[in-house]
Amino acid sequence: MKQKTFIAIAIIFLIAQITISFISSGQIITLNSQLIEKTDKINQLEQENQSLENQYTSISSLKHISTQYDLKNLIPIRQKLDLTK
Amino acid sequence: MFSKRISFLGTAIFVYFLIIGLRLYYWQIIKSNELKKEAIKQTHKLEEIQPTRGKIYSFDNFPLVQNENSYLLSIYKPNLKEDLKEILQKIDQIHPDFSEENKILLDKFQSNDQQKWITLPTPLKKENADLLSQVSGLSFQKSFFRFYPEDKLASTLLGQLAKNESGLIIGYDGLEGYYNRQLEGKSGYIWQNKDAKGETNLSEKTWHLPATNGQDLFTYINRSIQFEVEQKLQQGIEKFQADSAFAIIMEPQTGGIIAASATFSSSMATQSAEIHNPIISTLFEPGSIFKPLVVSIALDSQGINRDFICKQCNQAITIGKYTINNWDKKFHPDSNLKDVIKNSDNIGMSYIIKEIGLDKFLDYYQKLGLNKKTGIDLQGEINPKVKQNWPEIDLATASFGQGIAITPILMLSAFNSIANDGYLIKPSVVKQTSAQSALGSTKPFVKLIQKGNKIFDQKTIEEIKNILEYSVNSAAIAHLKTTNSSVCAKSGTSQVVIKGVYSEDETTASYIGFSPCQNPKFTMLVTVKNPKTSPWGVSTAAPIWYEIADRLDILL
Repeated sequence: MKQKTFIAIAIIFLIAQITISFISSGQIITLNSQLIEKTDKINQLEQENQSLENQYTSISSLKHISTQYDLKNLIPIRQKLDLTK
Repeated sequence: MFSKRISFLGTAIFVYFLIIGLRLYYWQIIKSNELKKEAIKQTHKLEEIQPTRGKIYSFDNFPLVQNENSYLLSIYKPNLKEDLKEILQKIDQIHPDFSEENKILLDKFQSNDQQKWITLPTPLKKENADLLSQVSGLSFQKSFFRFYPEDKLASTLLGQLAKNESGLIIGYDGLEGYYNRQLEGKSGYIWQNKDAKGETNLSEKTWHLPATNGQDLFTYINRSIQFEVEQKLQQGIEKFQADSAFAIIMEPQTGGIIAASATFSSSMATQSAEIHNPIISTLFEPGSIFKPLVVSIALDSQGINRDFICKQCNQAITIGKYTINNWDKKFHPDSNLKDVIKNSDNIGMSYIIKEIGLDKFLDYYQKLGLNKKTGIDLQGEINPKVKQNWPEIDLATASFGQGIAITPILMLSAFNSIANDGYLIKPSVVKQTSAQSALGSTKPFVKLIQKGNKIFDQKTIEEIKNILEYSVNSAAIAHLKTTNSSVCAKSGTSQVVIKGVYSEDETTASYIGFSPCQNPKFTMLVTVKNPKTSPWGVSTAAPIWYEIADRLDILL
């Protein structure tokens, strides 16, 4: 009788261990896939951010302005405000 | 018989276990460390985290250089399923002129059957790499490049990136070369678990050393002025049919380089590729722009006094077998200091330097730093030529800037000591750097501006400023001055040495000065090499100088 009880407890422990390892490994796999997904997203956002930054500086550059607008007709402002008065 | 068999079997089992035991000892004790390493390799990975290279900003915090991630295309012949020409046509549709840009490399690759693999240097954008990634035989390697929002603006100062012998991308020339260590930052490393596919596994045993990004550089470069300077130099080259022209503008009190550019005519394109930055890496004979420095030395060392009159200026000087004459072959008897400078009188200057004497002249020459590099924060600055022997004729010709060879930046730096109340200050392009730590906090490092060594006293400075202002206002070029600001400047023309002999045809025409004369806002040097319309600095470099000065009056 004792032997049967012992075997039953052992089997229960074994099943519990297998179940817990399945659950935790499932969690690890889920978290890992989330990690990969989010790392990719960060890389993609960094890439987009860099691309937008480069586009923004390109269109606000003097080179761009000078090719888009005819600056020859513009008269420079020579007067200066004296803000100390 | 039976017991013999039993003992034999027992011995065999013992030997069997002994062999297993010894084998286990070999693998688990002797080979333990090696196998541990192998096991760790299979279950862990070490990845290098690339730092972001620092950006370079203009004085108004606009990025002149930033980064761009790109992809390099590699082709592996054995895996190609389509004809290479068809593949290249596809690439050209996505990235125009790709084949043309890599023509030499691709021709060699196609004609050489032994070459199976090639990586092409033209960077491709991520979306283009994604589109082509399905083509068999093509692969992509992530790399980074520099992105220049203002295109080639200030390229003389910025430098560039290129691969060194070990294949590492490093900075060459200009700021990229000089500040390479600060700009590149430090790589980080991450040590973590991986699965069978090599993907990262979450683990508490991850070890992470973050990358330290490169420092950003904040410069004195004023991009509006730089833009104007580059345009004016280009126009000047065309107008005066010159080989090349360069200009440097400096903030007198800080030594900050506001703008600097070197422009070459189309016929000099080969030379322009060889000389990256002529402002710091070529030597020139300054000619008459050197005269104000000699007069300052004469006054400061009390070699002459302010009432100096050139009694001998009524004829040419003969020293040994050489004769020193004026540029226009005219004589100006009884000239005072102002007239010696105004007339750019070589004879008068020869007498002035004689009054100074060689020892005092060399003493000031050293104090002005004309015998060594300025130490400007640009890679590629060369040393000036330092003479060991000074025969009488060499001292006389030095008084009008011939026979001495210095870099343009050295000439500007020395002349700026007049603008900066007699203090010699080191020229500098970078105002401050920002050090980004691994945690993202920024600790800016601001360069300390030192007042520099005092070379000339205040009386000398006032006197030389009066002389220069007088020579500008009473000279034929006075009409070039369009603003009300006073100008203290001097023109100069020097003959060019070709194969050890002064050329009769080629000259270097220069104009140097600062404005206004009191509390100047800038010191500028403009030099035009080999102008064909007129050999003189006053007719070529001076008009460019005043056109730029007119814009500086608005922009500074």
